Amino acid sequence: MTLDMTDSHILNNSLNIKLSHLTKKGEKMKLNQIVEKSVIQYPKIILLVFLVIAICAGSLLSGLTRDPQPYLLPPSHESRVNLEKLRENYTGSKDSVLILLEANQSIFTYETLSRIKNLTNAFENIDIVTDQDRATLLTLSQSVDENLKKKINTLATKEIDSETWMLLDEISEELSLSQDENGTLIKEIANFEAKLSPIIEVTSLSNTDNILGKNGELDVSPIYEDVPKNIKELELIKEKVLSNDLFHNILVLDDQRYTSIIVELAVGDEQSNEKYIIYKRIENILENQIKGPEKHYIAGMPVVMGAIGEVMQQDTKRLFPIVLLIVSACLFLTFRKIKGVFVPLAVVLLSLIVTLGIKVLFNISLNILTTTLPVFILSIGVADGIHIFSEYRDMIDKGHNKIDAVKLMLQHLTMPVIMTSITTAVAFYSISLTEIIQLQHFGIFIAAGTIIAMFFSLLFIPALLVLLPEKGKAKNRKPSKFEKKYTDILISFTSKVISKPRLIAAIAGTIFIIALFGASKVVVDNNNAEYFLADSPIYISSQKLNNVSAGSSVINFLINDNSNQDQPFKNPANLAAANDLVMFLKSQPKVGKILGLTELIKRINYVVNDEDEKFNIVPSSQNKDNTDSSAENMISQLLLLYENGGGDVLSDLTDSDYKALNIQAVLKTNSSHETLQLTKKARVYVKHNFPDNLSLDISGVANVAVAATDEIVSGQITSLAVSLVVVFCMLLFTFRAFSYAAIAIVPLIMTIAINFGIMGFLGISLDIGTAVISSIVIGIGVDYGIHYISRFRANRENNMDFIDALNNTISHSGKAIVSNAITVGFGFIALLFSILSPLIIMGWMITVTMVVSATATLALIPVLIIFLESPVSQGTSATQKRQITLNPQPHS
Amino acid sequence: MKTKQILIFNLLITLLLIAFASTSLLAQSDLTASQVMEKMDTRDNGMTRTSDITMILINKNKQQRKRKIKNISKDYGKDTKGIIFFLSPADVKNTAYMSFDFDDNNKEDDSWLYLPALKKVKRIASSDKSGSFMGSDFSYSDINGITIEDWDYTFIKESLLIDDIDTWVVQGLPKADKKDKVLNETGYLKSLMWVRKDNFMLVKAKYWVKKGRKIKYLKVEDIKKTDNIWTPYKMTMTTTVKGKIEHTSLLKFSKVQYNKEIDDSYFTTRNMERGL
Repeated sequence: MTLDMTDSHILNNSLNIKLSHLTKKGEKMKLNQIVEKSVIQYPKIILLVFLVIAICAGSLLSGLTRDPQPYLLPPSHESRVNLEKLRENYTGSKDSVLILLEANQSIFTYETLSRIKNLTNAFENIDIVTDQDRATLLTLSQSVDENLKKKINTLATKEIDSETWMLLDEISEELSLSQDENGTLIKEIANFEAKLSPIIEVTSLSNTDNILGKNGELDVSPIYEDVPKNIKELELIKEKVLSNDLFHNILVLDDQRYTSIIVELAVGDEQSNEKYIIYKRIENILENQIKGPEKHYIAGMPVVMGAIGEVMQQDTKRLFPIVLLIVSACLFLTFRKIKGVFVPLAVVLLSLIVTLGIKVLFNISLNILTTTLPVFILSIGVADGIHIFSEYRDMIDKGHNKIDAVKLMLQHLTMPVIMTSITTAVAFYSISLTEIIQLQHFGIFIAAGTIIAMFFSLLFIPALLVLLPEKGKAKNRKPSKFEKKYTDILISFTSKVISKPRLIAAIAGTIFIIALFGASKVVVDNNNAEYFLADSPIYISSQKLNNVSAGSSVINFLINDNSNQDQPFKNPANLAAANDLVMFLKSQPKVGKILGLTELIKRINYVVNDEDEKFNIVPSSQNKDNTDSSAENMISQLLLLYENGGGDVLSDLTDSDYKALNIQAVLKTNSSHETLQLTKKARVYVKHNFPDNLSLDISGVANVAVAATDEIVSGQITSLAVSLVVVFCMLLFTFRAFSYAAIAIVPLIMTIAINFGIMGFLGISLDIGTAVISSIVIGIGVDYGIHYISRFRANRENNMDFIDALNNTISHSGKAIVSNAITVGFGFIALLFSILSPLIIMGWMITVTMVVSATATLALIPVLIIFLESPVSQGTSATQKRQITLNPQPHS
Repeated sequence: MKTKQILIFNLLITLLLIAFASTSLLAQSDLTASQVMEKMDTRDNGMTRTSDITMILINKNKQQRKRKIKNISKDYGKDTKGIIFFLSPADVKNTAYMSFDFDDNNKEDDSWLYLPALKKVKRIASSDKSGSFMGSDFSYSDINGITIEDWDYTFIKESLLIDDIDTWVVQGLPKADKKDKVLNETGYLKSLMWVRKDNFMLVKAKYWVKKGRKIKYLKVEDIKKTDNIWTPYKMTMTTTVKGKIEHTSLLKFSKVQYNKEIDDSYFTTRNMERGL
């Protein structure tokens, strides 16, 4: 897989000529001469500088953190701002862990009900205090007076129980009264407090009040307190629970084998690590502390976050050695020399270290996408190293001494390396032109990594080569049989292609149209559960929740009143409109449960009327024009009754002025695509059915995912447009001919179309993983076109005829293109070993598109050149074919 | 001459009063924490009480809601019967809540609710006392009092000035064997109370709530004598979680009257339906 560098040489010359046009008069020094001068005169300094940079960066690496944040959008994005507002305005809207318990026969047994009670209690008392927190407190307590010190020491050393928080409150009160400056201690106590009580509320069968109404009596009491042992009483509990619509599909499911426990967390979105620890605690409680025969499934956003964190950690450990092995193997096969493996590898590894160091410097954590940085930087960055080292070897083999070989290599390669690195960096950078944080970081850091690798390749490698001993010319190396065969295949491929240019064009056109048809079927999706492999606990849990219970994700429909009515959502007409929306939502697929004020009012109305089904409604006005206030009074009184009975979910469902409603829909899906379908329908429904004074806002965790899909689409369009335009400009600059720039861009567009086509036909959705592929195609694929066309045009300028020029181009550039596609494609195979499903898909899609890109370049560019130069008029296609097959010898 | 006599008489009376007051102060300083609480609990509050209460509920976003109720109660030995009528807002006007609190722990308290829109009185079968009083930060136990025998009281400070008035600071912890009962009735794990030495009025308190690890702070203000009975005219209860205010309730009392004749027939479901 030796790359032929002569075409780069040609490219370099043409570029240098063009560059010299641009430089001002008097500045004769070319870029490659600057590089050359510095590496030959100060190799030690250069090595030292780069090593010092790398060591500095390396020393930062321990500070590299992971952020498994599954929200794709930054906190400043409208959907995130709305989510925060929702959480501030309504209780019960914070991130929750959902636990589904599955009993063998029924959950209404002494054992299961006892376990639910014990679990609820244990979950309420979860703490995430670490030994580190305790140690910090002990150290800080040295500075305070004896009495307080004693208390802090007790807090820091005693085992935490359900009353530790009271001791903590005592300490923080004393601290706040104390005259001394205890800023750090106060902060640490606050941190301890947050970790001591990370759970806001646990909702389960064992701590929920039931409202029942029979025989003129209202019964508001817990579903059960002491777990009864006799069957009769257990049956009674079952009946009571089943009779309450509000519990249906949440606390109990139809077949009585399932029940949910909902654990609402006080930890914020940025505290993913804390969420992960809580998830692990919950799992530990279920599996070890309070064991039982019931199976459990744990899902919800905090769990997704936790699981992503866990998987990312494993992935970093897995992917790095694999990609290292693949790249080393490729290098060894190419050069069959330890130095050939060691030098380019050192460069990419150092580039990787520096890139990651910059990440730490800017305090940016690794996210689900940037976990792949090692794979990308190693696979893409090594290409420059290969170019440089093989050119150097060629020069040595041609008998030049070490210094001359380095000089010549730099003369040939400085500009091509810069050019290809910039195109690649631009393409990757264009990925970051979106609001999606993961893509932003990915685009910026791979672009940065590419540029860093470029500097290392152009300065570090030559400096190293200057200093390393050189044994000199290798034994006269002849092209192997394999290499010869390989060239033959390429030539016969091209000869076939150009013998029927119109047919090829027609085939390409057809493929293009089919691909576009496939592309039209591409679904944009962002499905947290599908990040995980089908056998992972989180995937299984989410599926189970979606299949048997109300679901595993929540979206909030907020109804606002824009009139100046007092307490508008006690008004029967407004509530009727809200109720109609609830009914509409209930009728939609994937909606598992609706929680809303109207549902609560119905329940209360039903129970105060002795559970008469006639009254399972929101009270409405008797007369049409809504002038009588009896219905409104009724609603107010029912709500007062509920509040007075100790009901505490009102603040989940409406604000204190009854000016807005929060309708929570639990969805049986994690797909943002399916959620989007629902929100679209809801908006249309509202547009046609809502009175003028009411409006709908959609918020919630699932809505952030929906907003993210919009961003994926607009980000994809922006990055495609920007990278295509910039790359086209660079092609124009390189070729100084619109026609050739256009020819070079055609295979890219074709490859992108095929990429989307494959996705559409195979049902692969456009997500944050697949969104980066088209930019990779542009970034790497454009180099192929540049190599191919530059060489062909240089050949033509050297007065070769069309056939010879093409022949020569194929045997040199063609080979280089195939080798590069194979190296890069192979490197990305490492991603197949990931345990995150979007990365696996991304891995093989990149491999496939690299092959498609190389094929499209080799098949389409010669055809397009034929159309451009129309050499057909100079002879028949038959003679062309003969000529090509007759001249398979590569020119050197 | 006459005025002089009166002056001397007055002086004597004053001296006597001071002497009496100081002996009583002396006696007070010998009280145990439990005795202080006992005195607070059995403080004279009349045989019957009527008052209007304006309830202001303030959420953490500082949004306010106002309710006005009329509260009438009468003692029957150690038992109490009480009735509450809602005066405003208009949509809940005439909603009535009646409760019979029995001193005997084995006898379950009774309560009824009348919704005018429903035109029916509903008996409320079981309602735990630790629950919210009319959606406020006050619980029923805060309003109706607790069973002080279930608690152990100790002095945290035997003298502390609150607004220039001397108080005892008393800590209450549920007796070891009464923990569950206390939790069930009040929801509290612990309490801290500031009791005025001159009149055994509670002026400040702090309650530790088990559910949700909340702390409630009570502040009693505008304590005045009405019909010769010390009466608080303003009570504020603030609920906090991890030091942050979640919700505040303000009770403002007016038209307070004690020992007014109230017929036993007033505390009937029929009277609830009849309204004010």
